[in-house]
Amino acid sequence: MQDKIDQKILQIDFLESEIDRLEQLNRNSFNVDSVTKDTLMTALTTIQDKHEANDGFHSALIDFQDREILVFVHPDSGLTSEQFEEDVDYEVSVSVDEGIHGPISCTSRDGTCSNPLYAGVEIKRSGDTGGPGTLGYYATHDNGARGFVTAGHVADFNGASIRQPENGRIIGQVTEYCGQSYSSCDGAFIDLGGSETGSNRIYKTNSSFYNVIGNTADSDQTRGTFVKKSGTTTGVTYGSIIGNLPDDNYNLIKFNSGNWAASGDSGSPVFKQPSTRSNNVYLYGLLVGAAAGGEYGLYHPQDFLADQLDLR
Amino acid sequence: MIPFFFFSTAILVSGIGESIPSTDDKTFQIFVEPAIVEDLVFIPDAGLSFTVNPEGEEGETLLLVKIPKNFPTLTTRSNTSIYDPMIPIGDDDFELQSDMTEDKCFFNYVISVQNPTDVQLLYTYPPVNDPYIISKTIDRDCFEQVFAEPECGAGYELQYNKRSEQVCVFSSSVEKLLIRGYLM
Repeated sequence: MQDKIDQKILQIDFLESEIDRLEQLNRNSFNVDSVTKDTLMTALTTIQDKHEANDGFHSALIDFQDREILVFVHPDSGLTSEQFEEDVDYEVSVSVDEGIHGPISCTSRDGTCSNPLYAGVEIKRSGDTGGPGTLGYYATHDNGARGFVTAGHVADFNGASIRQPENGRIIGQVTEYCGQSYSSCDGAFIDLGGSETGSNRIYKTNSSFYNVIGNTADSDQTRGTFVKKSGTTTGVTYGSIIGNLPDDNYNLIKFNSGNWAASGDSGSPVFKQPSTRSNNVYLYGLLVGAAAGGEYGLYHPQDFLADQLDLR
Repeated sequence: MIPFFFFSTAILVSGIGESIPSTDDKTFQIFVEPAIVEDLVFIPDAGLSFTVNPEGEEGETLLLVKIPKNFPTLTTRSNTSIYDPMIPIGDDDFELQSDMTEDKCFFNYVISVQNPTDVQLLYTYPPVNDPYIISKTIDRDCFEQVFAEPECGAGYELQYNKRSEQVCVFSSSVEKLLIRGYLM
């Protein structure tokens, strides 16, 4: 046992020195020569001048590391990187990042979040005497109804009314329910009431959010992939997928440190953030279980729940 | 009856005050086939861990692990005794392929392992309230299989009280205690 511990310590020391080395390389990568800098500055000004009056255009900045212009646009804008590159005569590369930009409507997980609702905030079944859970991800039912997915053991039963936050207003009713067992199904769909609006946003901090731009199929959720979850109790945490066995309705995550899943995190959305330079993420699934004091998390893949809950 | 070629280990579980219902000390039998397992221990907040013996044949091995149905487990809801099967993890930190069936007295796990390896068999629970330990009641017919029998002194007999706990009772008192409902 001691040999294994010593071996792990050596590995950690080596990894820390590697991180230092990579950090220095990363710093160096931001240095650009004066000609490149001028070219990028000119391109940025050109793009800003041409598009600042366009509602679909949000902002632009220089990415010195990749020597390109990064443009933020609304998903419905129709603006593409090719159009921006044409604007600057193909002198520099332009990357487009789609996102919804607007005022933050959710400034705490346990406060009122509305218009639009975010995933990752506190909810509770009306009348439940236990602890709260977490609002999962935004989805559309086959019948066209819009709402959110959460864990079956948070919703408890079909027809239940759900409050946000735990003692707040009723945001909708459970109209699809598949049980409370992770090995078969532990999920529910909350149909939002008439005055509620939802969004693909996932709570990140009191002033920022992730934006779901696509879904990843269970078959592509490979072991070793780093994923995050956003939950009411432990916030945003990350871990590595360590289990995705054929024929299983769940996948297993090991948290990197501390608590991955504590009481109240049931129903958290699980997602992958491909780049920390953008808050755009891909949805992986819904957290429904924990093990070993929260060191491990169990989640249903999103495509499994779509099938079980009749979601598009 | 359990076949003789099973490896069996007796796990003494100290009394658990926070269990619902609370328990006194009990000694459970856990069976493993083939008998290439050692260092099997109970971790109250996590589950079981054991080592698949390096002296066994190397390569893929199917282990059958029989765990008493009344073995202490975690839950977060008073109306559910267990949040589905336990999950096996290998020493490479990856989930192991497994299948669980149950009979009257045991949960039976068939786990695919690459021998040699260490295995953790983890309890799972829904993270909506704080988990706590429970010990389910079980049919009396199972007692001889799921409990390791302590040795009672001369003149005493091993019996089970109303809470399924093992007690050594003076032989001449057994019948009286049974009639009065103190023993099962």
